[in-house]
Amino acid sequence: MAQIPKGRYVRVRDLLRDGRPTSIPETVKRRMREERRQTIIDQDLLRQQEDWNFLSCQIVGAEDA
Amino acid sequence: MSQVLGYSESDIEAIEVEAGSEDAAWGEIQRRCGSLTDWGRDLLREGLDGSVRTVVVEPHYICRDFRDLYSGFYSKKFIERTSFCSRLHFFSVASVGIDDIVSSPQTFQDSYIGYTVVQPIRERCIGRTVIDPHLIGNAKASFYCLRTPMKAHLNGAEFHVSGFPYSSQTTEATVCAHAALWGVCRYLSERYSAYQEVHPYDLVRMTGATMGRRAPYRGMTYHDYCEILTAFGCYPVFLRPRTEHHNDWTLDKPSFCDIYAYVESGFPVLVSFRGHVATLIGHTSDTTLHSQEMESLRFHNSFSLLKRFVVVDDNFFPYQPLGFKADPENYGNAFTNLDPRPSIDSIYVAVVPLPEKAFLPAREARRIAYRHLEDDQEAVSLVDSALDELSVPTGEPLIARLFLTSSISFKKRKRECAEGFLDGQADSWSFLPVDLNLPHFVWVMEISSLSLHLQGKAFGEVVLDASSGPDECDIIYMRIGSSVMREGELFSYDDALVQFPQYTHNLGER
Repeated sequence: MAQIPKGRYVRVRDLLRDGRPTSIPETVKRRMREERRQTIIDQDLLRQQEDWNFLSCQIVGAEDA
Repeated sequence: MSQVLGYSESDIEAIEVEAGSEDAAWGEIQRRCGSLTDWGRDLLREGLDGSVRTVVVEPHYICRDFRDLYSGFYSKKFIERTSFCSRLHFFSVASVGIDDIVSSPQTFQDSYIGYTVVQPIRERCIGRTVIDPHLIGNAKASFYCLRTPMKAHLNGAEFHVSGFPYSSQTTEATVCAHAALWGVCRYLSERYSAYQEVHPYDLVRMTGATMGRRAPYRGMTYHDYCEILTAFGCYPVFLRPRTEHHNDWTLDKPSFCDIYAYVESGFPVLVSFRGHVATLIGHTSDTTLHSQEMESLRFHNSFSLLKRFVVVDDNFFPYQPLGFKADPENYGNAFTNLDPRPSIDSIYVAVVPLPEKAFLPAREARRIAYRHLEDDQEAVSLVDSALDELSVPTGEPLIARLFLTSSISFKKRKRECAEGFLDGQADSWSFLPVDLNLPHFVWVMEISSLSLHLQGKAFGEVVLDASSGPDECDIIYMRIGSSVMREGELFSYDDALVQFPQYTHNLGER
């Protein structure tokens, strides 16, 4: 296996040499797309889109508290 | 109340606080500082007794924060009062005179604990206060909290203190939410030049009028919060755990992991406990997991190592410990008028003043990072190989720590890692982010075994663009041990370091 470039300042072009293809990004993309397709309702998204207007007039700080 | 008639003498004086004679010393301080009420004295003694040995009383001090409140509110009252404050400076050395301190400030800099402004207000008189938490008994190694350097001038002598700004509410012009917001805004404006300084009455003015008059006091609403923080220049996000009425964090762990991630990222987080508000500014950590539940297939979130948050609450001396509800050390146990009492479990809403370009929420960043670490067999094998190389025992918990940081800070720290400034081992892979074009903000997930984490080290990291969206799941790069994945290619070197120092810049620690 190659030796990692060493020096006072190593450039990206010197670090990223002799790479080999990996399936990691494609697997992640595929899985995430599948998950999105299967998820009819995304709970987190739903939560973000909830009506939080009730908070707008709630008191959060007052005397003695 | 202090009075200034013309250009009189400054009358500054040093008062020794002898161990065992604190009552007498504080009595003398109150005599010289007429605005210091019993409430203010007790609050200061709660945090300073045992650490402070000399208090310098500066009887006449013009505080720009109080002058603002005075102009906006107190000057309109019938009964006249002074617009001058007093200021107390705290030193950890004993038996020093004021002449020594003023003539040789550098000699006493290391013992300078900080200062407090005492406002001419009945009862809650503590104004702008900055105390170095590490000089009052909080060990640096286990106490992580936000601090910003501030200066204090005493008759021309300059002192430096690093702490989080604190002020009590006046109860008449300002309420706890104003005090908390003032601390957040002052911290940000002192630390980052992009934010303009705001004063207490600016915050009163910025409070909306839809609920009626702004002063004398009325509680602030979340609507006011958003308006004020937005006008200040932040882009606040709201987090609301699904624990309403149940007072149990385990019902919505992801929300608490989100809050923890923002604290770990170095943002002051305003939290409300139904009727009261305080600011999370840091945390202390445990060495064992308080929750065995993993967040993903293989990793525990570092929230599981949280012992307590460090909070600033205007009712108490700064740097209080906010624990879980069963924690006897939880400062919230002192509240008898709130049900439930403040604790981590009873956080009702958290508001995080984010910068504009931090679009990707913490939860999505975690989701994308975990997928890269766990979905593909090749990534799983890389993690296994790194654990083998590090001789991590089977079954040792793996910890994932997520934080948001600016690419400037990240590159600076990585350059130090790369050149071996941090632990003496030059880590060439750390040059990778240094030489990449990066967005203003990046999410970073560091992975460690529990033992490595406790040593401040990691064996992997996933770096994401914080301006990306949940569907843009391309990462900037991922490092696992001696290998790096970037743009669909894997690069490995057999002599590259497998472990490297954690990024610990956000909460001021090295």
